[in-house]
Amino acid sequence: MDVESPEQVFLRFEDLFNANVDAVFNVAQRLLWNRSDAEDVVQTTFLKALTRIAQLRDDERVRPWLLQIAYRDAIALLRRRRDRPTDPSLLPEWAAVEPGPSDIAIASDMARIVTVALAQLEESERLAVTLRDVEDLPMRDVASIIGIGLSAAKMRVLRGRASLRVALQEDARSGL
Amino acid sequence: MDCEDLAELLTDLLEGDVDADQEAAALAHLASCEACERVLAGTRDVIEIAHEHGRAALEPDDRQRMFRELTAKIPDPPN
Ligand SMILES: [Zn+2]
Repeated sequence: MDVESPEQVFLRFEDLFNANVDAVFNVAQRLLWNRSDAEDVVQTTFLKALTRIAQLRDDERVRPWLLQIAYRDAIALLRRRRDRPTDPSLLPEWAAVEPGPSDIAIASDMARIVTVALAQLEESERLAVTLRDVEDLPMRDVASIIGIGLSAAKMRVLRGRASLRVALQEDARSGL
Repeated sequence: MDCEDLAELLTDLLEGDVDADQEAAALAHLASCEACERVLAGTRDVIEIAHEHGRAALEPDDRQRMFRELTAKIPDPPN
C-alpha cells in the first residue's frame, strides 16, 4: 500500500465525513432526541474514525463501523442522562414522545409524521427500524451494530415495523 | 402453510431470504388469504415510508459547520 500524504489523508477523512455524517447523525438523533447531544455524538464518532483512518478503507464496512461507535456513544449518553433524572426535560420518557423543535421545524409533513410515529416506538425497536429500513443496512450489519444475533435482529425489525405501522395508522386517524 | 407460518416467514420473505419451496408455499398462502396479504402490503408500505421520510435531516450548512467544528478539535492538523 502506498504511503499517503497528510493532505491525502485529510481529503479522505473529509470524504468519509460527507458520505456518512447523515447516517451517523440520524442514528444519534433517533436515540437521543436532542440536536446538540446528537451533534456531540457525531463529533466523538468521527474523531475516533480519524484515529483509525489508516485502517479505514473498505467503504462497505466503514458505515456499520461508524454507526456502531455512534450507537454506543449515544447509549452511554442516554445512561448518563438516566443517572441524573432531575431535569424532567432530559428524561428519556419525555424525550421519546416529544421530538425536538428542530426536527419539526425543518421537516416536511411526511417527515414530521414519521418522526412522531418513530418517537412512539420502544427504543430497541426504533433503533432496529432506523438501521434496517431508514438507513437500509443489511440485516447482518444491524445485528453486529447492536451486538445481537441475526435472528434476534430480525425479530426486533419485525416488531419495530409492526409498531411503526400501528403508530402511523394512529397518527393518520388523529389527523397529524 | 397457515397464517402463523407466514407471520414467522414474513421478515425472511421481505429480505428475499427464503428458498424456492418456502417462497412458493408463501405465495400460495398469500393468494388465498386476504389478511396476510394486507399485512405484507402494509409492511412493505411502512418500509418504504420509513426509508423515504424517516431520516432526521441535516442541511448542507449543518454539514459544513459540523465539519469545521470537527477539524477545529483535531489536535495536530496534517502539515
Ligand atoms: Zn394468512
